[in-house]
Amino acid sequence: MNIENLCKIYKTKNDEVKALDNVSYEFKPGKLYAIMGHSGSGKSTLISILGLIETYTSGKITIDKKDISKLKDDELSDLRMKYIGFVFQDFYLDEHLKAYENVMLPMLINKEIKKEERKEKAIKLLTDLGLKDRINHFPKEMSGGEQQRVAIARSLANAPEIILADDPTGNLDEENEKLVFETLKDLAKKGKCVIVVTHSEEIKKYADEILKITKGKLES
Amino acid sequence: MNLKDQLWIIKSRLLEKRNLLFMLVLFFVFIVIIISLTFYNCIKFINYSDIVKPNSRNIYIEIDNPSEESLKQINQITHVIFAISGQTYQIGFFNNKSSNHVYITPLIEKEEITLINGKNLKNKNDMLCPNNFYPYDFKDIIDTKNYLKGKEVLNKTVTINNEVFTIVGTYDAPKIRNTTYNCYISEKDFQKLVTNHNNITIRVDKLENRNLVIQELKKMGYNNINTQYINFNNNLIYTGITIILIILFISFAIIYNFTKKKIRYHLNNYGILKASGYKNKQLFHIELLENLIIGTICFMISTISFIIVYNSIVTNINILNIAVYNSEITLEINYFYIFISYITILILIYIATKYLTHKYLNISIHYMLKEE
Ligand SMILES: Nc1ncnc2c1ncn2[C@@H]1O[C@H](COP(=O)(O)OP(=O)(O)O)[C@@H](O)[C@H]1O
Ligand SMILES: [Mg+2]
Repeated sequence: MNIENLCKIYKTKNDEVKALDNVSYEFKPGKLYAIMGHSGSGKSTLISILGLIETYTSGKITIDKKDISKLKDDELSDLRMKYIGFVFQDFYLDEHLKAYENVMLPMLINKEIKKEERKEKAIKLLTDLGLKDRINHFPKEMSGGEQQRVAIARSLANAPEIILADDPTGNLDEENEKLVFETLKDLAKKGKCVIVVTHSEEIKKYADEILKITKGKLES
Repeated sequence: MNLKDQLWIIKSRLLEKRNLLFMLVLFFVFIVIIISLTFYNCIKFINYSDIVKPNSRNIYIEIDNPSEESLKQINQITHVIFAISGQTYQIGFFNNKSSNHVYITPLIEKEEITLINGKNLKNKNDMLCPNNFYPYDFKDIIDTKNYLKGKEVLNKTVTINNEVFTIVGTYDAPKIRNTTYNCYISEKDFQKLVTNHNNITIRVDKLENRNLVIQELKKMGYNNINTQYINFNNNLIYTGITIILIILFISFAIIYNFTKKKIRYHLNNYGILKASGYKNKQLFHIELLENLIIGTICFMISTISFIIVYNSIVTNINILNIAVYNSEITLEINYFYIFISYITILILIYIATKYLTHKYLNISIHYMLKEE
């Protein structure tokens, strides 16, 4: 995944906010990247654009050597399904669905996963993240750390190459934070490109690269 | 994404509190629609009952001693049920009550009647009458003791000009838009009853075809054509349409608001689905399917409860008997209207869902997820 001269300007009624200013970088598979910076520096904006869930004003993004700038909404959806797993600070689990059902959700649109395999696959992902005895639990019945690991399992549902996490430990205590970072590190070791936005200094023990962002500008 | 998978997503949240509230409101919306349609139908019935008596389907031509040939010609015009020399008979009947009467018409081969009880005309002075025989005026309707049904009518006699006619069979009157007091005798017997031949009486199959036949008659050179004056009260129709439009507008506002609240509430869920690769179309289908299911459930519950309540009220006050008084418009629940209102609601749901998903699913996903 490659970004060149990425800019993002938020336009509101009264003024414009330059959230990203000429950001260029190349993210490689098999590494854990940490993006750090003060609140309001543009971290969420950057990672959202990388996850194709936010538009950008100018610049160029290539994923797997494909330029995404001219793609339509539906084609972006296809790319999101195939390449990207996103983890959010607020988990965003469906409260009506059990853990394994939440993990199954993204698989419903993936033609490569057969109907009969879905549940089995979801259970395997949860088991790999140490949630074997939480498979049939609803989000409300789980701790924050467990919920976040369910959310990570969900982001892995369609076996994406790129895992993005926007402050995944923002709502977690230290112990759970460690578990989540270890999980992300494992994924990077398995060859995925993992990018995580965080405030926590703890990440320095795990990250391969640390990117600092101030006022929309990237400094390595 | 197939229907089964969509249902899988919906099933868990279908019984959410907000959906139950939506269902409750929609239930009342349907009830109001069904009641107003049925009420509209009833008023139309009461208003029109006078003008759709069989006489209103008659056309009279003033002509002295019409020839057999000309009657034959007129009989061949489409929509004409019969053309005879003379008038159809309307006579007092039973106890000489002033309002009681039967219409006597000759049974012409062209008239396709369906016998229900007894047998067809065969002997001299045989008579057929409607299976629900009610030779009374509208105002007597509540007095159902005088209402004869089916086999009870058989072998009763009616005296016309000192000739005694016996009822040998009953026929299905509503099927050919006849009233409950339209009786048939043979053409031969009828000719004997006719005294003055200065008239041709033509009966048309449906009121709305009357003008077509009149046009044909004019082409054939007849001039002194008379019909019963019919005053269609269009105001009633306009009022009905206005009320229905208002109800539809309110229904749409309700559906729109609930769908809007629902989509906003699920914006996080949709944001997550979109972030993991769902397309707008797929999310639209999920939301639409959910709303259609809610609409259909409510429609079924409303219709069934309405039918139960309506029928129990109507049968208790015997008002349904009015329905057989005249067959062109009936007081029965009009299932066609109900079906149409169901389809209309589905269309409203479709429009609201289409518009709202377009509005809310096209904003950036990042923003969808931030929205509380
Ligand atoms: N939807 C938006 N509309 C307007 N301004 C926004 C919007 N989202 C973020 N911003 C602004 O963009 C800047 C960067 O925000 P963000 O990427 O969320 O920073 P961070 O995640 O590092 O705290 C901030 O100044 C913020 O106020
Ligand atoms: Mg942020």
